[in-house]
Amino acid sequence: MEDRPAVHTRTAPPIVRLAAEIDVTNSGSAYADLAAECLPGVGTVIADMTQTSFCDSSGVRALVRVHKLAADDGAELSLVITSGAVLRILELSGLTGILRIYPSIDAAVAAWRDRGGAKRS
Amino acid sequence: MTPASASRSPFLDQRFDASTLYQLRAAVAAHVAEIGLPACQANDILIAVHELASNAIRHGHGHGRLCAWRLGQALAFTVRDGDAVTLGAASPAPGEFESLAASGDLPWPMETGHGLWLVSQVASYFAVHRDDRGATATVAFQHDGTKPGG
Repeated sequence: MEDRPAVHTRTAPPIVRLAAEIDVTNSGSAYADLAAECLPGVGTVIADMTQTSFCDSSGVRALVRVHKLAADDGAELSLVITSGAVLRILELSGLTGILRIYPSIDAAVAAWRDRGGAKRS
Repeated sequence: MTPASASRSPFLDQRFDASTLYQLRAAVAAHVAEIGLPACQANDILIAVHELASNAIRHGHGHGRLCAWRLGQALAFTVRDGDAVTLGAASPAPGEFESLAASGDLPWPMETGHGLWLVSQVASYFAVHRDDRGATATVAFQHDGTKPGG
């Protein structure tokens, strides 16, 4: 079996696509899917919410929990949001200034590069 | 002049549980869109009604019933946790919202309170009544999106 380097150079951060509607019935799996990518040295995890048109308070809590989990490892959670409804609930919750929110995957990846993304090996 | 009490029967009356939350949101969205509210207000209504229903599912009896009325320039929604009968099948009178709101404490069972806090942020009126069969939450929204007294 080949050895994989513990920290390898990434060409892009992991991208996790979230469900079209996030509520109490599936926010747990949204958390689990994102948390699974929060590995040591990951740097950034991108939550692709471009298909997400609704997110409730349990979904918001899931995102905040992942944000904290990532921060514990010195990593960051980037959210890609295109829905006004999803932005609205984050805004109501006072989180738009705390979470990193981008309008497209490209913008999130570009920001990751600007932060020195791939040079961490 | 159009009387405020033009219609005393709900334009939406739907039971819900965890397996039908999605359909509940779809029904509310469809009715609110038909009334012609701006998208941002329709979205706030969807958030509020969903959070109340989801609260009944998670912290109440696990199921409930949503009714919605047009009352003059307001839309009113009652979300009954379980089989609560407060407010019955009749629509609440507009003046009743204020008296409910003034009653203060919200006895609705809650875990973190975030969902209900969101409801209080977006609704013109928000109150909870409790009887021995469960809780009934009432929210109302002005058509033009203003929050009188808020």
